[in-house]
Amino acid sequence: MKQQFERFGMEMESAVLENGLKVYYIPKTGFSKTFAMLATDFGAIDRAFTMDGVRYDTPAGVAHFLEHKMFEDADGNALQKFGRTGASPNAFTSYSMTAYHFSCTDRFEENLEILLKFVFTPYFTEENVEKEKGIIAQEINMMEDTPSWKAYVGVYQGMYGVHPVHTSIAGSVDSIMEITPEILTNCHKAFYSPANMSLVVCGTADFAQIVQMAKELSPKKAAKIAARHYGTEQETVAAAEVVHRMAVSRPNFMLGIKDIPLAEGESQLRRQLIGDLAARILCGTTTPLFVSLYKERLLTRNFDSSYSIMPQVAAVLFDGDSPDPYAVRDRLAAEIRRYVAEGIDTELFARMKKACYGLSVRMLDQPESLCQSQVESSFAGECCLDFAALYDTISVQDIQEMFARWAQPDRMTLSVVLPPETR
Amino acid sequence: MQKFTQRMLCDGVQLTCITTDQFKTSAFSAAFVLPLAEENAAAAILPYLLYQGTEQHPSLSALGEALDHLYGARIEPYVRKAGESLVIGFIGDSIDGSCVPDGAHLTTEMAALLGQLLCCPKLENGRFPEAEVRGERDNLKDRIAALKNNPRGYAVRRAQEIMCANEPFGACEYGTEAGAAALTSDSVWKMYGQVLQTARIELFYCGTAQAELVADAYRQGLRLPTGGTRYCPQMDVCRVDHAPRTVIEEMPVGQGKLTLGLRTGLTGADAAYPALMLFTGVFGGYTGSRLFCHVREKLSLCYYASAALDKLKGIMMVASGIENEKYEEARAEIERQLEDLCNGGLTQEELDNARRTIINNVRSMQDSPLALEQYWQRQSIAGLTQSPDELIEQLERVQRGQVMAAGRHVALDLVYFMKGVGA
Repeated sequence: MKQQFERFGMEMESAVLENGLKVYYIPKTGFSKTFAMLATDFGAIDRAFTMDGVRYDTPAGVAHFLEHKMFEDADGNALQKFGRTGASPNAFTSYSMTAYHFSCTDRFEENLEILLKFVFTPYFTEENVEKEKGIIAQEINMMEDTPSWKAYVGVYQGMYGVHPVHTSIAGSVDSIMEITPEILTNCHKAFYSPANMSLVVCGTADFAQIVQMAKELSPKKAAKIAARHYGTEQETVAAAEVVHRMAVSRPNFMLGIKDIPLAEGESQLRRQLIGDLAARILCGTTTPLFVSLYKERLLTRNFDSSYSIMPQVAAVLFDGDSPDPYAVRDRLAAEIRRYVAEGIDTELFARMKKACYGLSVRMLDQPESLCQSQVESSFAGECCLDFAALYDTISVQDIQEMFARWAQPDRMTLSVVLPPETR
Repeated sequence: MQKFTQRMLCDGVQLTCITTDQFKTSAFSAAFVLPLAEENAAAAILPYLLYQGTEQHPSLSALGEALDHLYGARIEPYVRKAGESLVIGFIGDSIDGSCVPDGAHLTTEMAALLGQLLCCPKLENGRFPEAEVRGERDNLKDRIAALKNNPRGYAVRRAQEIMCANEPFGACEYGTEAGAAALTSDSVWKMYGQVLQTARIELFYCGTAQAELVADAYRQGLRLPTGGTRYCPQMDVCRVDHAPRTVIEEMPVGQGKLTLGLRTGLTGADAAYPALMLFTGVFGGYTGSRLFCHVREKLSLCYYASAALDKLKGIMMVASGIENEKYEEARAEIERQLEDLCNGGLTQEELDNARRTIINNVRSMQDSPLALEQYWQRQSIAGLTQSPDELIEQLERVQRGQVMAAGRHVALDLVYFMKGVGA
């Protein structure tokens, strides 16, 4: 299927293979590189699942560990194979997905073959699993020394008491020690089914050729995807404050507001656009509130927001550093209450909507972000390039409703990393 | 197709322009270039202070509103070090005018705004407003103190500071905490006058507009005193005449950071530079490199170990994060790999693999307006005119013998170990 997006001169071709693998191609005329991402709808939160009638409860960090180990095959390491073609490979694991990708300026087909082969071929031995523990332990130690990461992990810990998002993506040095080749094999079987995955290519390639290769190099039959268990989560936060202490020069924080999860049939992309727009209206760096907080030296230009959606999870996050994160939290809460009481100025709404639209269009120049965005949309059965049409449907009322939810009691978690000597 | 032009708008004011219809984003940069001093606080505060408002948009809120109306255009103040030069200014991006029906004015407004940010600040009684100087002075102090909060980046920064203690390059581009604390409205105003009079100015644009139109738009904002000589950057490559030093310092973090500082004596101005790039690639530039394959994959000593070159300063930095107890082992392995490469251990295959990867990276840079900005600003400051395509041509021609010869220029100067003594 070929779709045209005339408003900003883009097109996308897509197909679903017989085994369920979704394949997308977004041409980028004039670009030197071609980027490809193969991703599975399986992330750090998918730790408990039932497959063939058996329930599995796996150690924290298993999806990330699996990501590291997928690169190894009986005939060598995929990173080294990419090394010979000149491509730049990488991978990441988030709370809700695992993605493998490469970018190249030539030999695209050879690279795509390497990608498809290694992601669909598990190869775990006692020895190679043991060896990886040292590398991942150092990755975890590095993250443990990063204040913004501590604040990020902390905010989910505070917001969610039951849902597995309360544990760090990579797990801990202790939890990964429990991981065995058998556990990895089970997870691969449960979630690396083509029916649970998407392949997105952006750049210059031949769609028919991509589809042909994906057919040849993915399993003929899709294994049944395991049923996941996230537990039953309350609407309010588990803890209003999460405090870590580290050798930071000033407090670092992440403020989370727990929103309701997506409703059955609700568009994920539309919720994402509303969430990003609401965050910008509330305290984007061009708002009166941000300017006040900046002038009072409660915030610096190192301040950002994001809206995050996962299965059974939705939250808006604000992060930055401040001498008094508690005061920042109180001011944001007061501003939300003010908007709920007084409404949102239509001029401000129009201005911020225009700005958000401009940012979305600029994302189209970044093949990495574009592919990731399409992977996320595809898992929700949507198309990321529909953003322009969806913006047209977003009204002040949508933002007002979101603010009304944010204003409800016990929805906020403030995660702070404080220097040792203060509060 | 990218059309590249460089022109002097007047003495010491250079515009680099890339006209292309490849992107939906236009990128802009406008900066003062001055010699790096021992204390840089008075210059480093300027972009943040200038960002507080212009004559036309006399407050942070007014500036924010203007940016929102330009489809969420972004302009951020920055402070960079480029060899022995200090670069202070603004980076911006906006949706390209061709992407929206009413977009014709976007490019000219952005360029004019950047010029105004440099030259037409909002003043009070002919000076920067006192309260804003105080606020930005404190922000600068905090920013300098916060450099330690990112141990991975700080370890490399600290190693360079020790290694180049007697060269301008060893100074922090933001200045020192004490220097920032001592800033007064008088000292800052005096520095601004001096910068306007003597700094070189580097302007950049990448987008669909023609160079002539961009030049006119920048000119609208630029209001510069005439007469006097503008700074002409010099490169200073030091060779070491002493045995390698070892410095161990303790930091209250978990993971140790092992950093090696090496002198190459070669910069982008040397014919041997492409060979040195290849040497660095083979040694630690990508996932097929010696450092990745041996220090990480074979010995599981770390999550990251890599080598990077500074094109203007002619130094190479090796960075890794390791368990504190593995210091000797990791150091020995890094030095062993370096020695082996210099002593004939370099194979044709590893050279060809690194070459493909580096060429891929250079070519990919042409897909990112912001990457092109960084590349061309550094080229301009170094007085280099080689384009990415010309660099690729040279990389293609380099022989194994030339790479080994370049490697023999590489001399270890400093081993810096930032030992973690508990978070």
